[in-house]
Amino acid sequence: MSYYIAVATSDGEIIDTHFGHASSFLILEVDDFGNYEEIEDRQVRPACGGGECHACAGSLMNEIAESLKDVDFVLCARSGPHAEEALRRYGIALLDVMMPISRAVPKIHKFRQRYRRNVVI
Amino acid sequence: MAECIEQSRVACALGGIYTALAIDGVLPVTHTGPGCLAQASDILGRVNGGQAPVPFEESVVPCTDFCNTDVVFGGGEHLRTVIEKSIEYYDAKLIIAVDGCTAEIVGDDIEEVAESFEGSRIPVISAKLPGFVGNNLFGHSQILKSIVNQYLEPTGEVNPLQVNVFGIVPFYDTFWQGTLERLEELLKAIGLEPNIIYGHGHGIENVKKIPSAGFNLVLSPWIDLDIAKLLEQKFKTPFLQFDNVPIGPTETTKFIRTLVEYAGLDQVKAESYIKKSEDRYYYYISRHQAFVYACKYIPKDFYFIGSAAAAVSVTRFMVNDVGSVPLRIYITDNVPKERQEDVRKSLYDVELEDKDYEVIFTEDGGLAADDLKKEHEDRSVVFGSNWDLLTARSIGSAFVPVCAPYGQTLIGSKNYFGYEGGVALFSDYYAEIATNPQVAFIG
Ligand code: SF4
Repeated sequence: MSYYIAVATSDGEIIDTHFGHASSFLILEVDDFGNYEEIEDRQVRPACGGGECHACAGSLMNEIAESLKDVDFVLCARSGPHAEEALRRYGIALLDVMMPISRAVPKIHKFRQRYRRNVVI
Repeated sequence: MAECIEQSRVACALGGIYTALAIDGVLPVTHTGPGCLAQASDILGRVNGGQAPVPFEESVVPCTDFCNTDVVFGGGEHLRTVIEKSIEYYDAKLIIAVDGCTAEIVGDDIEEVAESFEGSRIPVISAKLPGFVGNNLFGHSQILKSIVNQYLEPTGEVNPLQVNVFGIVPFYDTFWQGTLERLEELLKAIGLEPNIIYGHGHGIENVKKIPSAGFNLVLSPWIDLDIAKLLEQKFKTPFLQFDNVPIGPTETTKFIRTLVEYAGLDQVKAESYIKKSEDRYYYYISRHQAFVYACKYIPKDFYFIGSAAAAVSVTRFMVNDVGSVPLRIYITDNVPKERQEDVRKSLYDVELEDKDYEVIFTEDGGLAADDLKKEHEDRSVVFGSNWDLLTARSIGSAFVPVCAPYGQTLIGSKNYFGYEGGVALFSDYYAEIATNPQVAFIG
């Protein structure tokens, strides 16, 4: 069964955007063989309000988490504990990693295959 | 290993980093989850006589904070960065990259990462310390093996009088620091040149000297025998095992005579040292004689719960010098099956006619506590760790702490080594009997 990954990226190639700065997340659909395609650029209100920190623990985090609730993994360059907590409530794993999307997805897929039993990390 | 254990008296394998931290100049870089270090310090560090490593105390030990991302993407690069930064910021002489369970499960290759630092300002080696394989004694052995295999170089010459000291596990043997200082004095007094790697006044220079020793001394019933054998294989250094850290005159005198015979030392000098020390020991004991007999109740029996090493030392002293009798001895540090017979032999090798006491190997300290609560001699004495204080109190026994976790107190340079150590344990023992209201002035 397919699953979804949301990526914070500025150019569609490299995971380079901080979670709180992202105004959109690229949504990838990955099939059982690890093939993936971009299916959507999902718009969100950035949690850090464009650089000024004011909403970290607040409702914006939850709003973003809510809007990403169909994905299993969120990849971004950097994130904080509030983001992680908000996403974890929806069973979403938030991973900080700076690398090309084309390298990250196979690693996630391999991990998922190894730990099939629906573990939420 | 037991399926589940209560009242653990050992840390997980990661506790092996305390062996590294006991060597001045050695810095472990840990590739583990954020909580792993705290787990070890609860048994070996601050709750064990308020100890912390010097100069690198736990809170400055670099850690990769192994997290979700490392599990999915592999943490090797992350470790490399932390080592690079450690080389930049720390004034260390040797770095040991170690990993714990998570890194071992996902299969990060820490050996490869360490090897990639060949030629760097600070040498980097690696040791695998996954807690799911063993306890801190396994970790201790892994650290020493890494040093021997990856760091030591032959020195080319052998000094027949130099003796490397092994068998005492730093931190885990709560008295390690004081013991090593006294032991060093004793070895010098009988004409040897001790080479001790741990603790105050020692360090990486002593590590480098290991291959030039005339022989290795292993002071324990089984720990570090693997290291001695490895050194024998690698550098052809023979080893002498003495099965415990001697406490009191009987055992210390035997220890000295064993050494003199093995190393061909000056017998006259050694015997005069023995005479002087024994005289001094009995002088001090005589001073307390009247007090001891004024203790209205003098217990005959004792229970022991704790490490194999402390068990042998304490049992020998209590039986041979104090004249007390063990009732049950619980060994709680997961002695490997093939070594249990040796430990058992050591524990029965005492001057006693009826040796009808039991030796029980279990990692489950809770089992020992339950056993004692069910069946015990009234007003006996319990030797053990801080865990056993309450058990002793609940069965109306006196209690003398002798192993890890020693408790939230300051251990200072306290130790029970040698003749002097015999006096110290003798006085701690009777002081407890005389002042503990449950056993003291009732009889
Ligand atoms: S057992 Fe493993 S996970 Fe637990 S503290 Fe030790 S190394 Fe860490």
